[in-house]
Amino acid sequence: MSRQNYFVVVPVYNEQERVGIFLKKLKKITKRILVVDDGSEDRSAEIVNRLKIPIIRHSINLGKGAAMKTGAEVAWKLGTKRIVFMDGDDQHDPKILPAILKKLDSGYDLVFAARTISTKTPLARYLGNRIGVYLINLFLGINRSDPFCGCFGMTKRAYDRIVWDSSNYNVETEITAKTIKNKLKYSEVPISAIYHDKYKGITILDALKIMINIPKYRFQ
Amino acid sequence: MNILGVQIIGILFSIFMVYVSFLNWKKKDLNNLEMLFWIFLWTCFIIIILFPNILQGLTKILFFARTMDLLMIAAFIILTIIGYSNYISNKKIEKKIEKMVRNQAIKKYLKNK
Repeated sequence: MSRQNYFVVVPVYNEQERVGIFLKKLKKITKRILVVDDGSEDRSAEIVNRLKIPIIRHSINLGKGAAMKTGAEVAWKLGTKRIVFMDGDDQHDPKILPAILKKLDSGYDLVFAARTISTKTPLARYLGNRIGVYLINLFLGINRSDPFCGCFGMTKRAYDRIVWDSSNYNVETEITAKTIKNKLKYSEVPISAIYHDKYKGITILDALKIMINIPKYRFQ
Repeated sequence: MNILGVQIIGILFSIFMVYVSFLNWKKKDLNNLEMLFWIFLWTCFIIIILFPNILQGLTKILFFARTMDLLMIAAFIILTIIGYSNYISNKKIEKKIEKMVRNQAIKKYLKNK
């Protein structure tokens, strides 16, 4: 029963190309899925509905952080004790789910997936990610191998302590900073990332905004 | 009285801003009191442009070399205040919209479940 007490929250925004593929893979692993459509203007919501997966819809686009928060709050209202976030762009392998849940069961407050570097990783993403990781670890005084990865699990107790304000891509940085600040117990599990599109995901502008905000979270 | 080019530009700008305020008042974006405030402000601006000497006392007290310098510093301070209050009010509106949209989505989902 305890193993069933979770939800996978999938924030989605204009992902009609990939969301169906990802959710089909995820459905093979679990039926406990909550999709949050963050005001998509394409057919994302229609695709999710066709797969008969519960969907919560924002009437306008608010940003990834806000979509995650909505998903989390619905999951808690439905009585769950743990949630796992996965991006809807088919970047994360759903097979990681049992490993994250196992670690949460063993007493960790948060379990972060860390993308392993492969030869298929686009160079621009690899370099951007490495520089970002170095700066975040330096400023926050931690040793996370991939603080930008959107795949991670958390308990209700952890959520109550780190509930985030960021509504955009800063959310992962804020969660990392608040995890450290609240002395929450965390762990990492490796995940093989699937890169479909060189130009989607975090843009250079998003990366710059994240960098600018690191000191804010450090001294908040 | 000799009027300099910069004074003509300042006066035309002030008249234009009064016109913009009037349009906003007509569209009911500004109420009567706000409209009066803006007319008063731009009229003061025109008077200062035409008779900069009326600020000479203040210029001397604050150790500015010219009235223009005083006006420039005042303009920068006003712009900074406006920029900052816009930033704060934008943040407040963003938060309110976010809360409203999220609550609406959660309620709708739980109701239809």
